[in-house]
Amino acid sequence: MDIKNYISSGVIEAYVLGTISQEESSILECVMKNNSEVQAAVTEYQDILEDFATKTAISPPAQTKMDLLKKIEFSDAPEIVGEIIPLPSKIIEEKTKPSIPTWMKAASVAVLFGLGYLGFEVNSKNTQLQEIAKNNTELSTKVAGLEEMNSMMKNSLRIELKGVPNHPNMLADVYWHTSKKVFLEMKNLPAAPAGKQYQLWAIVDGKPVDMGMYSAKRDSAVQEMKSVSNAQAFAITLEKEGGNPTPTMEEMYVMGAI
Amino acid sequence: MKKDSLNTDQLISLLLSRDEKGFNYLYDNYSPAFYGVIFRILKYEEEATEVLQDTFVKIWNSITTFDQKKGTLYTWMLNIARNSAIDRLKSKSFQNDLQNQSIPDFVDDNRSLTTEQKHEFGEVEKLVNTLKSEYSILINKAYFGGLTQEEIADELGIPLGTVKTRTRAALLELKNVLRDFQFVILFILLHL
Repeated sequence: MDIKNYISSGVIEAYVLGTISQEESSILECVMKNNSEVQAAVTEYQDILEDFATKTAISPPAQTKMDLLKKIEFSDAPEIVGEIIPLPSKIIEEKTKPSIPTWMKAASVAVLFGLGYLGFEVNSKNTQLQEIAKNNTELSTKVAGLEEMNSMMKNSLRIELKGVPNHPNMLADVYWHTSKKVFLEMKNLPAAPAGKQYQLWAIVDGKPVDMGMYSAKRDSAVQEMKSVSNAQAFAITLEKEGGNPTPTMEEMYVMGAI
Repeated sequence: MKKDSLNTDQLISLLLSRDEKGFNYLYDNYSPAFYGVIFRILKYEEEATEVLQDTFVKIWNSITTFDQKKGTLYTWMLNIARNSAIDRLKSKSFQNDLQNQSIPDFVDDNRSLTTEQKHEFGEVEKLVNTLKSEYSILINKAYFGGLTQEEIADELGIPLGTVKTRTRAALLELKNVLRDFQFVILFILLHL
């Protein structure tokens, strides 16, 4: 699809309105990075929506900010700067008369310690709670991710990419989803050396078509690559970071036909 | 809204250093815009103010992930506000509450919105209604209803291709309307 068609396909409008899937958004963000025309179209729409929000603003109730401030942690509270005023000496003289019984002083010190400990307890329980809540969110994100992965794999054609003679025993799997999306799972390929990245290719009508770069930094082993509607084979080569327009044949690691 | 006294870079660095001044600036300058979007999605004050608070907590906690290369800070924050509101709109508990509550707050005269807020809300309605109905319905369903293009096509019984071309036209039309809208507000202010 050329860029004009891509822009007029409605994908940019859907992107700024937030009505497309995460995958489509990622693809658009990727295209945007490399194409100033798409970038400009996205910016134009975003400007419209910013303007829209500004001009249709409604002031929230005043209490909301008070409530919110309790939930926000700031860096150190501003220091209280004050002058040091020397105590007048006659107070010291008065103080020599004992006015509070010693047992009361002792008791108040004990109460103070008790309160301090209580405060500490509450605080640490709170922190624990927050951590648990955070773990919980992380876990549910993971579960959602796994479920998505599972349904993706069930509806995909699995193509096994095997090592070429230079790299025997290397393996990778391509999952070609019915929606034409392509996912890549690296099995035992060594980590790409610094400055290099693995690039996936689809062979379409005998010609290699770039399917995107495998990012070693992401934590998920299976990564979504570009989509392709017809391909006869897939292959992986080691290229410079960011990829090359055509594959370096000597650096091919694995390939597999459909 | 006065957004000009701190520039974006200054604001971001204040937020990154978790500075209270930065937070106050952020809230004072942006909360009406976010609340406008959120309130139009949820239509209930209690829910809308909760989501507004969530939005600021999220912005505060994830400002480190904001990437200027992907777009402006304002758009990034608006998306957080809008997505939080849409998530709430689609949540089971909200849908259950909807069935038990009969009238949205903005219709109920005795509750929630102050006169000023009602005026503001009315302005938004007026603005969206200046759009052709086939456009305003799209903006409402997509931007304030969180429906996908496929869902909109289904609901309106029109082809997906039509939804796409109309969305494009609707956004451009919105741009024109917004240009005039400035004058409308100005006009109202001058004649009060």
